[in-house]
Amino acid sequence: MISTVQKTPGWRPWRRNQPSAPPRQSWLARWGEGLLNRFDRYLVGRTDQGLPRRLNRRCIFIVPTRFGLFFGLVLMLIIGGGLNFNNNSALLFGFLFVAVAWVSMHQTFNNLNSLTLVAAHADSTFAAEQLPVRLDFVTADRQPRSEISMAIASTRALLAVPASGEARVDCALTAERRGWMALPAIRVSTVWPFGLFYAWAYFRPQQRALVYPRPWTGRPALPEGEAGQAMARRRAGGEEFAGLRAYRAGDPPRRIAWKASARQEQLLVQQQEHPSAPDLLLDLQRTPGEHLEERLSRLCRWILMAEEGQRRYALRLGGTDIGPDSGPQHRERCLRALAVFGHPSAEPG
Amino acid sequence: MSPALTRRQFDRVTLAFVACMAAHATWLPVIHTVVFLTIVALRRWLITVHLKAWPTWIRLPLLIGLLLLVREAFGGLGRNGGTALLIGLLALKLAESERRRDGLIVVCATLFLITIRFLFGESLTLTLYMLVPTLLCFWALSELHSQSAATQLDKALVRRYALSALKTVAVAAPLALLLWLLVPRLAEPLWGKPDVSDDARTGLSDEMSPGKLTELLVDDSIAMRVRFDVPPAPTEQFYWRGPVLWRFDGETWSGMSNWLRNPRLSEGARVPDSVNQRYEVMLEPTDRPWLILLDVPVRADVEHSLTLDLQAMRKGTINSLLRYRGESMVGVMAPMSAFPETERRWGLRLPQSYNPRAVELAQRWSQEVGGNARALSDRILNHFRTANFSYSLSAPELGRDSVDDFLFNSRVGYCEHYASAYTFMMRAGGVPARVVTGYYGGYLNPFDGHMIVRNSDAHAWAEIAIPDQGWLRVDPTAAVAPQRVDRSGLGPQLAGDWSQASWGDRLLIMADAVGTWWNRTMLAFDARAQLALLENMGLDGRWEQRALLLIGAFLIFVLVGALIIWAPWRRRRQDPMIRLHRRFEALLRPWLGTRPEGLPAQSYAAQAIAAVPGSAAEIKAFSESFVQIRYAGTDADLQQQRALNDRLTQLQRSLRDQPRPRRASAAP
Repeated sequence: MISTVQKTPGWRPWRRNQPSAPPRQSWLARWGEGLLNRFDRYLVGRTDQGLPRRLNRRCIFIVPTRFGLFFGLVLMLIIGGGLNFNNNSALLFGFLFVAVAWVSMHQTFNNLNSLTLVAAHADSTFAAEQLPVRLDFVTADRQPRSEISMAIASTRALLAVPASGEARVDCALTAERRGWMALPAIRVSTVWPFGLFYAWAYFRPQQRALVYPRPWTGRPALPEGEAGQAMARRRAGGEEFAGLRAYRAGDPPRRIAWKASARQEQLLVQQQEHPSAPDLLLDLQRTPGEHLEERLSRLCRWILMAEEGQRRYALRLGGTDIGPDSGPQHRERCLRALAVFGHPSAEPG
Repeated sequence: MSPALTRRQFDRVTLAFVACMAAHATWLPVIHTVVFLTIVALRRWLITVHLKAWPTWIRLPLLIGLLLLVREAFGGLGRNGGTALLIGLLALKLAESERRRDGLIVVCATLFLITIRFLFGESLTLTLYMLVPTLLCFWALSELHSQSAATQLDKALVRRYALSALKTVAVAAPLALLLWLLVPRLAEPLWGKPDVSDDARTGLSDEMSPGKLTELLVDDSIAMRVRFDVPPAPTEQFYWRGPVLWRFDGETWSGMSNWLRNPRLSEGARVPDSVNQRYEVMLEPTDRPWLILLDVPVRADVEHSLTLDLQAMRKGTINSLLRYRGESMVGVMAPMSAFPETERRWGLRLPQSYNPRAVELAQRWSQEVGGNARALSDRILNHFRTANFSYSLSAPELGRDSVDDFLFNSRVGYCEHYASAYTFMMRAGGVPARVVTGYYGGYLNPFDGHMIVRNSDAHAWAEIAIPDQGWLRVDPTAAVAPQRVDRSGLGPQLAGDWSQASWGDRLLIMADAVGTWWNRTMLAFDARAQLALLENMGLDGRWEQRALLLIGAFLIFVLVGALIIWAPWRRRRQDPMIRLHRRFEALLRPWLGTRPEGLPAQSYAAQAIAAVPGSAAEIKAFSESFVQIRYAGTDADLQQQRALNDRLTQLQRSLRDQPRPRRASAAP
């Protein structure tokens, strides 16, 4: 669904090797652009939050495009000439072009009108990685929509919704920082059918995605220390079914202890721990690193490594301990704790 | 930088441009058309072999070549030269188009070219044809702005773009007509007329050099269309009066333009008191000031002045189709003006030492008939009839003494020769005479009764002064070529009536009638006609009312826009089951109020039974069958819907007897 507008350079040999510098703009253009940006921010602020949201005339904005203004100039020329020479056919066609522009303005507006964003779904991801976002659009009337450009942050996609139908857009955002990331406003815009007018609107889903710290690059050695050994000993003390634990979603079936499970009337799984691999204690305090983010990043990599090696580990962040345990749920809990560490206010209700 | 132009987008733009150029090809010199098309075709071919835009060293010579070509053919940048240059520049622009922006510019300029074409003619066929490039232009616009079209080729999408352009233009057409009717027209142009000097329109002029110009007589284009209030008899003779020529310098007859500037003389016209022909004329642009009126003109309803020799003249030249009503007196002599002496003096003037033999002959005849004007005239006409004169459009060149040469040597010519020779001889014989040019006859369309006068109907005749009576019309050509003036106003194959015409002729006649209708209603519409239209609507065209009208038109526009947005015809029809349940809720509203959003139908029914125990059976009956049908998984058929509706009617009847709740409990 994602299509980026391809920019192939023209055959201009004398320009071939020039880097694509930002286009030079006059102060007027820059001033205009600044004004537009401010207006745009105001529009985003005006837009109601939450989903599902159906676009209507209160949140769709429409202005003539630069081409539309040029077109208007040509029309003025045609009609001025037609009136002056009282050339009826020329006038008729001039007015036909005016009327077409007028009708096309409504078509442009209509292409967005009553477009509904019913759901936005974002998974979790690691910082500096792509956050997959899935958006579901529907229309309620018999008019098919096409040529709608959708922009969410710097990601662009082309949207087409069939008549009385739905369309799903899968796109990806770049997660920059760990923590809760609110989905940015989604801009839908269109110049359909003739490019004379530009209509746009915003959706502001309240969904948030959790961004884990960026895993440390490379593979730092796991902190095999006495604390870990101590924890391992402590744990070894009083468990009746040593080497077995309750089945958790995601465990491979070949590790299920069928006989023991039959006796216990619940699925039990053989623990894959080697006696030589004691539990790990991943402590923020003892993690090397110049600053907090670096340490969190290292911790994140360790958690991933521990999961790979199917080790049991505990995470100690400030005063709270998580674990020791292993498995996807534990990993999730730990990563989540890392993600929101130091951002208490960011915890969603 | 705007995105690159795809091949398909290029093709659309090219198609629109070529379709527009096809309309211009009718007036463009063939060489221009060929060169422009070659440039476009070459570029199109080069695109298939993946060559990008042409480099400067190719484009610059092409541009210079284009300028030279236009200069060579048109001399300068008049209307023709300018338009040819624009078309050529567009062809070159297409040749270097590689970005979307280039395509947009070409499309805009093509739209401009479409309207420019109407400066060269405004026939109905042309107007209809021009819808084709218009549609193609908007099709091209939608593809130029399409992002999906740029990346993929999808037949359904292509169809959608084409259809959308068609639909938009169709919706816009009535709006365009409204604007066309209501936007105030200019009574006077703000700036100059279009430069049509290089158009070389054939038409009547105030100069006539016998033997010099036969172009007009073979030009079959339409000069004017006429609609009579009372359809005339087909045998009637129609002399359409144009310029009147007095001055003869031995070679050329010309008008008395200085009379027009003399205010004293210009008020000297006398016209008959009564009128026996009323008609409406649609005069094609002539670039000349004359209104063409029938026979002895009395008045016309556009601004003009009637000179004392009864030429109806506008202040400026007529550059666009002009529609006016005229009134004339047919079958009488043109009255003498208030200055008969001036007329007499001018009507006798002859160039010195020209045509000595003709002068001598005329004087001899004049003495023989005793100076009687009518007798002299008969004598001359009789000479034409008997002395082996013949009518031909291919008359030989005449020498210095053109009248002598014609009378005694060649004896072959057409109306100009005869009118010139006749008038010359009458003057030489002492009778004031003048040449009148105009049109003779016309083609009466039996389908709608209008008359078409073509340029080939141009004619010249003479008027001689009969003392104390007026100016008598004499048509010397009739003496030699009765068939030339005896067409009774009908084309040769249509001298009979409509019912005898062949199918082909009938089609031609009908097409002609439609063309006339087009000219009458559309092309002749101007500030005056607009005012008349407003007056018909009960407005007198004051500016407040015009403003009001424009506001009204604007409101209509807004209304149409609102309709497009609201689009009731695009709404999905409401589910009949939901409609039934709505009615159910409406019946119970006095007891239950509005059903809260999201309350299931069954719970609602349970509440209803609790609130109105007296109608429990009916409520239950409806609710149970409703739920059964609703959740059956298939759509309810008509019979089931009707059954449900019956249940509701029963419920309504039973509810009538139930005690209404007090106000307080109306909304639980």
